[in-house]
Amino acid sequence: MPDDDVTRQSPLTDSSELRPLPKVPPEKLLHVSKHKPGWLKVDSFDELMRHEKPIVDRIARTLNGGNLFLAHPIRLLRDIGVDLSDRAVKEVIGSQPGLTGLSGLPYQAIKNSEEEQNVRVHVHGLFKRQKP
Amino acid sequence: MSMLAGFDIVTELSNAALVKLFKSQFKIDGVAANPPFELNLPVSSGGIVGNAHLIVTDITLDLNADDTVTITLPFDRTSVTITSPVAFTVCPLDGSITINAPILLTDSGAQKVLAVDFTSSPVTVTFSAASQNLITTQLGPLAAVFIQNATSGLSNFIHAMGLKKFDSVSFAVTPGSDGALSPTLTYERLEVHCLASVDRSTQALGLFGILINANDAMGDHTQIDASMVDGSHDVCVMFSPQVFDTFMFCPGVATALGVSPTSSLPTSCGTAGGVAVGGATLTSLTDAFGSGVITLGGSITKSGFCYTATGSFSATLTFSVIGGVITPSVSVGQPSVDIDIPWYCWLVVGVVLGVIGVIVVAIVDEVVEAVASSVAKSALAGALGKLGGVPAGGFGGAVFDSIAISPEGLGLCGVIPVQLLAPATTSITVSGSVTTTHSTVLSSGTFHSDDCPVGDFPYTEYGRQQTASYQLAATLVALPVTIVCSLRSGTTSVPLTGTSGQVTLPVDALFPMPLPGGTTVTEQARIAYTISGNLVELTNVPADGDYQVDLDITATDCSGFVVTRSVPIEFNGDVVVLGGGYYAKHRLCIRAFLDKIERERYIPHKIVWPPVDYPAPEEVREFIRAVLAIGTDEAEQIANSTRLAHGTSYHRAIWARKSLGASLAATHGGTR
Repeated sequence: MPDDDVTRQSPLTDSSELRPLPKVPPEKLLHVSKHKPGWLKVDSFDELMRHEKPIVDRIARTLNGGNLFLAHPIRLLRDIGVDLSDRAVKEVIGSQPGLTGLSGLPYQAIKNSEEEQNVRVHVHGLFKRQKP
Repeated sequence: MSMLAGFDIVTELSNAALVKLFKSQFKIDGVAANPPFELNLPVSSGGIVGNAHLIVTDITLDLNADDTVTITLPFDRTSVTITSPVAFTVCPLDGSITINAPILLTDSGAQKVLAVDFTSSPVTVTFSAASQNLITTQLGPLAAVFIQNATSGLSNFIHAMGLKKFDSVSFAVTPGSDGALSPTLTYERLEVHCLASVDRSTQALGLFGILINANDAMGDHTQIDASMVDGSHDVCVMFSPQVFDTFMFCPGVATALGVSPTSSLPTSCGTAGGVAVGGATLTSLTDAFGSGVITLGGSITKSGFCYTATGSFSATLTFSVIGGVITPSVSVGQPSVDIDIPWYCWLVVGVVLGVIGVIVVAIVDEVVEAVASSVAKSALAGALGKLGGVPAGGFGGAVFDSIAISPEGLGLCGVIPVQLLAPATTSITVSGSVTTTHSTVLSSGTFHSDDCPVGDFPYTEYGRQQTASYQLAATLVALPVTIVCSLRSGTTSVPLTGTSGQVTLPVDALFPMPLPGGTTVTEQARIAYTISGNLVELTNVPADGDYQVDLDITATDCSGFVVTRSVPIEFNGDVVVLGGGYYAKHRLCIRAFLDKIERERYIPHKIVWPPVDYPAPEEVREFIRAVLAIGTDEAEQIANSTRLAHGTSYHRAIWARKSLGASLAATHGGTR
């Protein structure tokens, strides 16, 4: 079930301004393998983007979360407990042409690491929204 | 263990360096204290008046915890001559003089200079057991009084030296305002203290300085319990990290980044929020001293389309000294970067990382280069103050050969090359010359020359009375000195006894007549002499012709030490002067002869005609040797004419070969 963050969704925009992320001390970051499955069920791209804020915050609370997201967003979403339906996956990939060349190798390398990366990516949004 | 004890900069001069300074700069009664040296010191104490002649054989220093220096001067073959109330001399004496005097900084114009204050310094004279026995034997019950008065008289003399300044060791001090490391080392405050040790090699004179006015109240030299110098270095300098920041690091960073003033830099050098560097913004740059390394840290931000990146980086800076050149070495760690992206910006991360990496390396490289240059400049130009600018005889510039980094600061150690004058040696110096006191025309006429140059030339023969005056001076001998002079010719030696008289000696005398070859006569030459103090005067008899004898001097000092010296004395009592342009024509004739010879045959070495202008004996000898080697009658005539043209110079050439043992005599004999 979604946590409280789900209920505090903020309007998502296409603005390049960065929304604030939760400040989490490195020692409080949760390894991606510690997340429990079934946190959020998502059946479409639109539904995913409606939950963008809590998902982004959960990524921010995950050790090397931004780096994992860049390496393989679909695998990260699933690892942090977002159950993506086949339809949702198809719509995400369809909406983001760059996602076609994903490889699991760098994702697994980051996932295996127990330390914070020298380069830390902070993701402030998930995907570019589709224009209505 | 603290090296700085709260001071900004500490410079330590080793005991050995100070000894060099004393030897090159310290003078006692105008005599450089570069052993061995001799002193003539007046003795005047308790109604006893006289003179002490000391031969100082060494100088050692000890730096004491109470900021005094103990100067020890061992002496040997020393004599004390008392002239009043009774005249007597005690000799030879040996022992040592010990002077304990404060070493301090004093004003000299606008500068502070190193000085030693002898005004009331305790002086101790210690005689060896043998010397004490000698004094007791000669003076009996008055021995103690003698020693006491000798010591007292010497003390008076030392005290009269007052404040002796080492003007070449000077420093600029401007109280109340920030100092500088370069171009001229300028202190806000400067103290000098001794770092004492049982081991002289670790004793040091410390110059404890404050450069930053805000630190004026800081520094406690008593917190330093050991010196930096270790026996292998003359000088060590340590800067505090704050000095490094203020005078090296921050100015270096400002130079590297083209920022002025330094306060326009971001923290920790300035107060600005950031400074633009290569398309990024440097928001902080810090340095931290560790064991063996200086760690540079910094943060940088860069933003662009789709991202904002914040990076931090660190680099380790080390220094090495090779051949006196300070060389930096830097190792840059991988930057730590946070990249914020508003949405999924595919590929942007890799590009940003590359850009930031390049910027960081560029910043670090430039900063390190500028900082290293600043360190080198400070160390070489300013660290020793005016010590680096003393001409020969004083301190030269320090040559640093080691550099160390510790949490306490940056330290440099090196040596100070000192050009010392060669110390004096025990010897007799003889200075003087032979002068003609009276000249008489003996004959005149016309010389018909069949040789080079052909023609008739007027001549005048002169009889010359000559006096050889020589002043004798003995160096590093125990007074009084007994001097015995004698004249020697060949194997015959005749002593000059008393203060005047006349001696005869067998000599091979030369007479210029008849022209051109002259005459050689073995005869008894008569030489009058007078001896007055150290002046010896010898006078010839003109009728004895031209000859050379040796004046042998033997000096025996009061300790029985013997020094000898021999000086050749040349008398020319009979000379001929030719007129009618003989000498010019002779020169032209010789030149023509040589040109002809060089055209006709191979001459391996050019034959050089020595002009008739007091040539060196070897030049005349070489010319005659080369001409005779040609082996023709004409060549022999040329050699003969050379004798006539050169006159007394020819004599010198012939006589000189005697002492050299050359083979010219046999060669010349064959031509006659």
